[in-house]
Amino acid sequence: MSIDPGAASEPVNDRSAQYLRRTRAAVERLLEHTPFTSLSVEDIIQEAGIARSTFYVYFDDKGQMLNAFTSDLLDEALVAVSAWWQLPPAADFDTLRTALAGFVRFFHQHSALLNALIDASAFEDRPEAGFGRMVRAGEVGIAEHIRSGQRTGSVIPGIDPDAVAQWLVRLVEEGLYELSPTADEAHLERLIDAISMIVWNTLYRGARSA
Amino acid sequence: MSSVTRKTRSARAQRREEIRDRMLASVEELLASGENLIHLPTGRVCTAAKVARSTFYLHFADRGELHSAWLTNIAGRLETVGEQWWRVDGASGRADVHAALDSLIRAYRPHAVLMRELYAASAYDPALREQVETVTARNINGLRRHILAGQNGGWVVPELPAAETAGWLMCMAARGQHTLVAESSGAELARHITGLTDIVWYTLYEFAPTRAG
Repeated sequence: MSIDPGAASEPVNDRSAQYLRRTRAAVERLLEHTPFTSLSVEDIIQEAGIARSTFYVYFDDKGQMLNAFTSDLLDEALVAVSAWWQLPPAADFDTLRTALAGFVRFFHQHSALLNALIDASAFEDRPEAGFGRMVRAGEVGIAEHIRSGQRTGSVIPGIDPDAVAQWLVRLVEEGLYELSPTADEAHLERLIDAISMIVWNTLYRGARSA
Repeated sequence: MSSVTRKTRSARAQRREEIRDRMLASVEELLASGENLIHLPTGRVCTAAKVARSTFYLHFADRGELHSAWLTNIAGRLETVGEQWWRVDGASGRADVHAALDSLIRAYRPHAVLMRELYAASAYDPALREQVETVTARNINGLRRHILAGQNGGWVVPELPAAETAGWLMCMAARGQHTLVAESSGAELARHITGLTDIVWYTLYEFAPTRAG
């Protein structure tokens, strides 16, 4: 997003990607203790161990840097979340829980950066557009998952696939807001239990318990 | 709100509420026409509500205070409507849960856009953020107590972790109201209400011991 793709040859692209990852890791470490709004470019270049001039080769400023992180982070988030609706609809509870644990842990691990992005999106449209992509992918993916499960009898028949999928996406989306980086292991396990049971009871339990 | 409490409140407090409500009606019209709360100058809301700026600042220190007064007022009214859900028990069926959520969402609907904007504004207003967190915590706690009561009574699924389930469901409901509900009406709104009812019904009640029996 931040890197000029036209001017970049292969090796430069590699270096850019590497540089972006390195900066992002540094920012995520800093966000464990400091809110994004209080971070300076100086803090970031020191933590990442890079020269100020290099920083400005890749980023216009701190805000644009945040936008540059969005695309990769949301791609990774989508992979983590879609593990659930890419399951065969006949999957059992433990398999479902493992898939949901993956996404809960991903959001937990990156919650500080995700929250910084969400806060920035209250003013700017671009990160919101990124989240919109995730929401749409979720709505389509979950609705399809429900439909195919209803056809094969592994999801209860009476529910409206699209309406339920839209709410379930909001459930997942809230993970972005609610999973504070300070949540301890026991709390995280209970959150994973709870979301797994919500999804299990809503979609599958009535079709399996017989 | 009885007439007795009304008399004991000062005229100044009454005047403040009157301004709050007039500006609420105006801001909701402005938002409905596509304005964005964060970029909307207080002066424009004053003009639309026919409240002199000087009068406004007599009653509110700044727009933050007005936002906070709106949130308190709307959240308080919704909490009253929401109590219908807490009256669901072992004798209730899916239709009762549907009716409770239907009332709640239809009460929320007229304020959904403003509430979404207030939640977004809270990212930049620590006092408002604290208030949003308090409202969220109250809602989660209400549902948590309801789940615990139902687990004791055998009409809510016993293995659900009460606090975390309440957290997920309430946050889903808030987010859904700010997006799905805020943007729909008629048949689409009815469909959203049924979708939410399905999730709540199957998660909490359908497989409870006294029902699955």
